[in-house]
Amino acid sequence: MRQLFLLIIVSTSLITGKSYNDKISGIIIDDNTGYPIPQVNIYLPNEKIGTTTNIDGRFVIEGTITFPAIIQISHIGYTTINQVLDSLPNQQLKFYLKQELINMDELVVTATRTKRKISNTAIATEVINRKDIENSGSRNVAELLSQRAGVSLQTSVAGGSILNILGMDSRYILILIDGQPITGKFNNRVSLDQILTDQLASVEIVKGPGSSLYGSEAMAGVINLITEKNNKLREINISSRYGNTQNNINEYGIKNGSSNFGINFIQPVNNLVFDITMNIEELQKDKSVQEIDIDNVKKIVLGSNINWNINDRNKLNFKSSIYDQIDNGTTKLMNTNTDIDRKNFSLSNQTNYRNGWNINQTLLTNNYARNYIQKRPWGTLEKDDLTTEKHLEYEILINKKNKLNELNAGFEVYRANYSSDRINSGKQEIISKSLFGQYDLNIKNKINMIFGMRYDDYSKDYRVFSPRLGLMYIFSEKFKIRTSWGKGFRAPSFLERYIDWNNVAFNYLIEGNPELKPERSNGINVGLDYSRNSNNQISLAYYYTNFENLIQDYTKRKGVLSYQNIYAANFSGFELMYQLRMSNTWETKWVFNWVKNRDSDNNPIPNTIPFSISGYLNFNILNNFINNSINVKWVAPYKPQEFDVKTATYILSKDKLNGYALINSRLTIKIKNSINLSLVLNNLGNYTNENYGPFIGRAAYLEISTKLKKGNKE
Amino acid sequence: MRKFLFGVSIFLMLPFIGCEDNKADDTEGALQIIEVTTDNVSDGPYYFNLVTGKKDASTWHIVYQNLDVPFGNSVYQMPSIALSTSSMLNIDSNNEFESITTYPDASTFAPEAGRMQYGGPNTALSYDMAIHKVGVSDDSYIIYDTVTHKVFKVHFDEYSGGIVIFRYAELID
Repeated sequence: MRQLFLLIIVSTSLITGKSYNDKISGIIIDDNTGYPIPQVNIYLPNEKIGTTTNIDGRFVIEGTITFPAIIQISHIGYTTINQVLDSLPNQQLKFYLKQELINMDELVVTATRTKRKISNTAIATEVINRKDIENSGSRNVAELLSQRAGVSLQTSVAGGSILNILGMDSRYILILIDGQPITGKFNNRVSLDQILTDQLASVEIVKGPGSSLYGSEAMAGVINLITEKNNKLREINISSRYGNTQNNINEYGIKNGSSNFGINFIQPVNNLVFDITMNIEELQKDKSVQEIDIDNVKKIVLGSNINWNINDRNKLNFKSSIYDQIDNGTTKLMNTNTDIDRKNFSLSNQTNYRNGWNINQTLLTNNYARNYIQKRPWGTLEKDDLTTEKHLEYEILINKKNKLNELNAGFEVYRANYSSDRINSGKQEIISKSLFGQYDLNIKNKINMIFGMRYDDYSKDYRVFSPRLGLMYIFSEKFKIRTSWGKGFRAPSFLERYIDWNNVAFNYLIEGNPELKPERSNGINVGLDYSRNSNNQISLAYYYTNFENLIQDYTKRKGVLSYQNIYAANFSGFELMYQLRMSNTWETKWVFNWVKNRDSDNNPIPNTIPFSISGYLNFNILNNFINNSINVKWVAPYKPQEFDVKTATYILSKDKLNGYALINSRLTIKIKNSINLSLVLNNLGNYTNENYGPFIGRAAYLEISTKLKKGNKE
Repeated sequence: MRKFLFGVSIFLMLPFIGCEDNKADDTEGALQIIEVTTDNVSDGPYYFNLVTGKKDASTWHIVYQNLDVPFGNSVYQMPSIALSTSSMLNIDSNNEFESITTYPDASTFAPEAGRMQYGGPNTALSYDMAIHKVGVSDDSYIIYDTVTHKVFKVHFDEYSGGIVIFRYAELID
């Protein structure tokens, strides 16, 4: 009976041409590098079955397959292959995927908190990808962003950097690392020169108020520094560089240069992927702010990122970042020592459910300590200030996707402790609870709408509601328009609320104001995108943001300064961006930026650069043996701010600063397949301005780097 | 690797090294330049006698003290340098301190009259509110003592936390 049953089945399959439990296996290889590609999607559309490649780029797909069958092989950043299989292959298949010319449609996370293609979100987002970062020749995030039009670098009291973005102080731009806040601000700002570019995979910039997703500080925009490289292959990257500035060489000789050594190690072990990074940087007489007496700066970064794919539904991620910076300054009258420690740890779990629901939970702790010591050369201790900040946060993010629409909702709670010799009672604490939600509605692949809102409750002090609306309309394959409106806020900092500090040298007192209200913003963006093809894109954006309750210091009474909510302003401008990749060997990108910023009396706001242009040209010659990147930035004449002694306020300088251009060049020679030698020349025109920057003139560094992939090259 | 990097870097930096200024000073040996470190201004005014080379509150040429300076509605105490009434001043903004070996014509000296004090046109010490730092002037101050008829050149080198370093030398024609 059983034999008869088998005979019937075999006969039926022969007659219908169908087979059962067919098995296709193969390997997917990068056509350019020859290395296998993990996580490639393999799909049989007629059979509706699919799989993905493993760490070694191999796949096995099983099921009932009708031949001839179509097999689809796709991966972000590669051209999709559709191939017809006439019959069941009797050996392993081998496919070579070609990298797409330009990746203008990259995945971004900042606009929605989940990975989405840039083209599929109504919130305009700009991406500086890893290649752009490498070509920029910049050592830290401050240098990287300052190369961009509309961004300028200013000095801070501590010798760090203050970014001015579109005429706006960087304290109104929320800076995140992998979507999480950075603890340890000095003078209410994150020192972006403390974040080295070697750590970064990309930088995402979202313009316009973003508090509906991220809460405080996202008044004018969000900059998310992405460190996760998404690389699943065994890999070792090592780089070492040495450089110096012309001024330093003239004054101190070549030995007082700056050096950097970095190593990145990626090792997959079964379902675990370990990504370990270490970077050591030492700057000698190479401060970016020459006004500050710092002779020697050492920065050490240790980072780890461990991903564990427990099973198809559960993922666990552990991230750690330990940063240590030591600044030493020596003059005839004072020796200074600043020690900055930053320790960040996060543990997150992602669970995917069959019905499209995903739950992501994150627990993170950030600790920051800054110890500043002033000691006279003859031994007298003048100052020993310690500031510490501890941030403990739990976040749950619920995500539901269907074919066109997506819901993101979440809850955050954090406790922040701040202790400093400069604040009232020496220690303060704040607890914040936040609820947020965002719904992305897609109508017939023509219209994408975003509805978002967030409610922040800062203990008993104040509560803030931040809404956001976004709309994208796709006219055709070439044209789309994006517009968004949102509200943002910045909660008053610990220092602004609780500072209690007497400046002994100048005999004045600064008192905090616990009654300060949050600063508020209300902004709209409108943008038009034109894509001629995947290698040619123009976008034009207009933005207008109104600010209220801005916090400003004032003279409370004789000899006493404090803070109050008095200041209002509106910032507006246009930005035109053009990207073009002419071939595999030539690409260029240009940004034109026009800014008009006014206070409530319609007076121009100092330090606003009204017009600037930035761009780069990158090209390969001699069959990719030599790569050259030239970055250019031109800043139009503008009026900086100066301090008016009579009114004790910052006013617009009467004299304009002349326009200037900054040119950086990076030349990379491929010595061997895995070894590159790069020469970077920054500020070729040697332009400096000792009052307003740039403070460093012409500089050069030499870098040798190697990338060793341990996967089996096919 | 470090040696290799260093070696290649030296080669690449050669064009820069070629631009180095040679600031060798062949006049410095002729004058005896004396360096003075003041007391902390928050402890009280600091008076200095250039002729005796000593701190002297009764007979002095230079005083370093806090001045009440109005800022808006408030008054701050700012460090400031002034001269005695028996001293006359000439300001040299064009020459390096070390290269000044002779004194100018007597008719070019005038009372200090707040010129080198805080807020003056040639203030010796200034305060940059942008970075909250006191800076020193690059000017050289030529001081004529009308009592002893001696002439001195003075340069303020550094300010830090209330203390100033200055150098001076007597100019002999």
